[in-house]
Amino acid sequence: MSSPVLEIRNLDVTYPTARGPFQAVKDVSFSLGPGERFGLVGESGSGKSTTILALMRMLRGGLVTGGELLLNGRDLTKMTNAQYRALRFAEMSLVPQGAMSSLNPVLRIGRQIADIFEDHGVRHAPGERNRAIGELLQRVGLEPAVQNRFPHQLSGGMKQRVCIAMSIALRPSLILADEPTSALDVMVQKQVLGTLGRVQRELGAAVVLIGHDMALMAHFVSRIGVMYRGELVEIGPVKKVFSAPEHPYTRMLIESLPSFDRVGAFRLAPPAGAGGA
Amino acid sequence: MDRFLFAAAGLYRNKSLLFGLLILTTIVLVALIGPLLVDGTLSRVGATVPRQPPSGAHWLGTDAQGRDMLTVLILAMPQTLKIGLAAGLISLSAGVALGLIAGFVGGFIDTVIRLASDVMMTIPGIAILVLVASNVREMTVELMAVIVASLSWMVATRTIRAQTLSLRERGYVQIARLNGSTGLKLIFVEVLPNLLPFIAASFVITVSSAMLATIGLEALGLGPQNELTLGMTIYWSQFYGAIIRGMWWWWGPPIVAISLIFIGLMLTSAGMDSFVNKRAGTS
Amino acid sequence: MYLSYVSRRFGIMLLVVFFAVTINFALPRMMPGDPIESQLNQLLASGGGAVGDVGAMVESYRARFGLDQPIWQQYLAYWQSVFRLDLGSSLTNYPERVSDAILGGLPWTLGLLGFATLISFAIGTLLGGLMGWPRAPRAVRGFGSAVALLSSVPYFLIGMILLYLFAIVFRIFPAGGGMPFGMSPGLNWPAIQGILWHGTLPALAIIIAEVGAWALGMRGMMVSVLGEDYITLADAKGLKPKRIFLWYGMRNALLPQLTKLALSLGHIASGAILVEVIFSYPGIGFRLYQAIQSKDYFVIQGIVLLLSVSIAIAMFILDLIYPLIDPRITAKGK
Repeated sequence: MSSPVLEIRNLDVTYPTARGPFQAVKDVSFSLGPGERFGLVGESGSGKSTTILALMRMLRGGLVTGGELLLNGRDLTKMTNAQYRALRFAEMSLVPQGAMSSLNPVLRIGRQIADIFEDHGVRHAPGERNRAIGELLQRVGLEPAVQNRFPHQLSGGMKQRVCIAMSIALRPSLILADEPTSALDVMVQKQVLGTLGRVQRELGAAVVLIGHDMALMAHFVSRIGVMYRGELVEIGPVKKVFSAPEHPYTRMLIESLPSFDRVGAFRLAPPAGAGGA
Repeated sequence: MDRFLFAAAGLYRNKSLLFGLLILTTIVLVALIGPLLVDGTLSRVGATVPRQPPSGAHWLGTDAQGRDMLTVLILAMPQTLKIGLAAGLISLSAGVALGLIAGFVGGFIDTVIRLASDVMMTIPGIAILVLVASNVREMTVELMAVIVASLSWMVATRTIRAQTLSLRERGYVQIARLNGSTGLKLIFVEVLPNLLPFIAASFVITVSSAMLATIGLEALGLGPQNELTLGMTIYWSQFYGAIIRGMWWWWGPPIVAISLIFIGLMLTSAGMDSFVNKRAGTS
Repeated sequence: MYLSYVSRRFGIMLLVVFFAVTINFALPRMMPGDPIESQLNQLLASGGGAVGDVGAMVESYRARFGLDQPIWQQYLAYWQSVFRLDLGSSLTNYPERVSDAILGGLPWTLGLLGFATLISFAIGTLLGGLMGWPRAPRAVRGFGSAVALLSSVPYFLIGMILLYLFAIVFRIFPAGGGMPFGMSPGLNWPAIQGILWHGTLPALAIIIAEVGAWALGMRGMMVSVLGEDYITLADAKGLKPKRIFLWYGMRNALLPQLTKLALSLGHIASGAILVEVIFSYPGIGFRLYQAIQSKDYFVIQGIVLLLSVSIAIAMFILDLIYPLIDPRITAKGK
């Protein structure tokens, strides 16, 4: 494997609470090669979203209390906030979870994409910018004219596509997708994920996909990590994790899948804290 | 006891509620106890030498008609509070009743109540008040309270209506309904207790807006001319040009008293707001 | 959808006008006793006004109330006279028409109120936005909280303190009036200067009291807007803090603030009336005060009517503008 795009070593994230510090992420390590698709699964509260937020330095109230975050060889923990701002979306972008509410309701789509260009110093000749935005929208399967619309004039799937278009605007080497399809219905979920996969391949960017839907995940990623109570309890190629899960929690997740190619999987889910949220 | 400690701890953390209640309590105490300690005759016209600046004999000086200002201030406070509280209570009861009816009955009646409160909120209260007050032969403290109350019920109506609507949809009210509870019983047993924090919050706002209207009317000269209130004290000081004459002791102390009342009410209301919202957030 | 929104707001405006006119009509008739007699008695008892032509005054009252006619005819006649802007004649300055008396004060009030509201809205909104913005310096929050406390104090009390401090103790500003004595308004420099000079303290009183209210409302909105998902994404996009503050935060928090502006017009106007009284500022409010002092009932009635109707219209205009700023309303109604 060539040098990794992302390398996380022994990450600890702690939230100070009224009842003492709460460690949300414990000693998590994994790495991604260029263009690789990595999946992170776990129930809500397992620390998978916190890991992503720590990567983006967008923890609200939480603190990175240990470990190293290396993006293209540079140590993110040593960066100033201003450096971090410049890096967001340029090298590492985010496709948010709540696409329905992630677009500014009072600005047109085109404006919200143009903001990214402007604040990262990307200059366009007059008239060129509209074309660039239109092209970006076309790449995620939307009409260029969508840039003149307001968010409330778009469907959920369209909004999520807009978010994907934004995430590739500056051609980052890493895309973090935080349950990008959780708010959509099943048919749209597949299409949106397909779009994400296509633009990611064209771009050659690595992807971290977060989710709790093992089945959906298995179709998309090549490697998978399972998080449970803040720890990365299992990591490996999808096939291996599915065929020979090591951790009991992983086994439980797989067994609770109503899968067609896994005969005999229609068992009742185990009790006590079972199943993802 | 635990509950008490919990409330005390909450109060300590909620600084604005703490300070607000502290200010209001002090003012109410002064208004209750003060009148027992002063000689009421000193507040009559011509009781002392007029236009005296503050001195050992008259701590807050005297006005142009020879009234001792400290006595006037202390006697005026309970009157002003009385108008505010009475107006607040009257309009709160009306507002809560209308809000409950609008939220529960719905349909046409709801539309009418909502329109009425929209319309009333648009018309500047003081305009109507001026009209009513200028048609009244003689203004008294009690009449003042009623008039002002008739124009401050909207806040309570809106809040309670909105809360009733949201409560109606909650599980336990639905269940009570399915279990056969109807009408009044449902309102008094299931809904009203849950509205109490909102009622308390709108009470503070209502008292505040009632007092604002009262003092405004009084400053325009439409207040009870023969009674001592803080607003009337301001009016007379204005009438006799106390500011131009530099008699700050005439209008200064009532301004401080009025401002303290309003600041106390505001802090209390802001504190209650965060308290109520927190409760609504966790439940 | 925009149409149904507009027609609803328009309906409310019509209702307000209807209500205001009806109350104006009904109140004096609901009071016990002959309204003419009671008004004249009150007037005479106060010894108010140059009671010159009592006969003409009684005549004017009779014509006004038309008390010999059935009530509904009186009501219709009243509406007609309102539409003709015929609000009767002043009692204290007898032949002067009420509408002229009001029109004389209107520019002063509109100027003072408009200027003060605009300034306080702008400052307060910005201050509130900063108070809700975690990156803002702490001093802003401290200053904001102090100003917020002032917002609960009635405008005219602040006006009294300003008047005493800056016109009596330190003679920086004039103690009252709309412009220097003996000067007449016009578009020349001394007149403009005089008007601004006299308007400073009254405007300042309104601004000081009003800034905190806007700041508080805006802070609350800002805090809740900053919790929205689109702020998180804007942050993730690596946008500059200034852009996030202005175009993602302020821009969204501003919308409810504008609705509040419409709702507060009545409150602000009521407050401004009293400020005019304190500063003998020659607007509607001071005229209302004088009319109350001299029991000039028709002038009182006229001003009350004007206040209610103009605020209803102003609110309607704001309601019309609102959807242009919030694209969602146009689509969904409200």
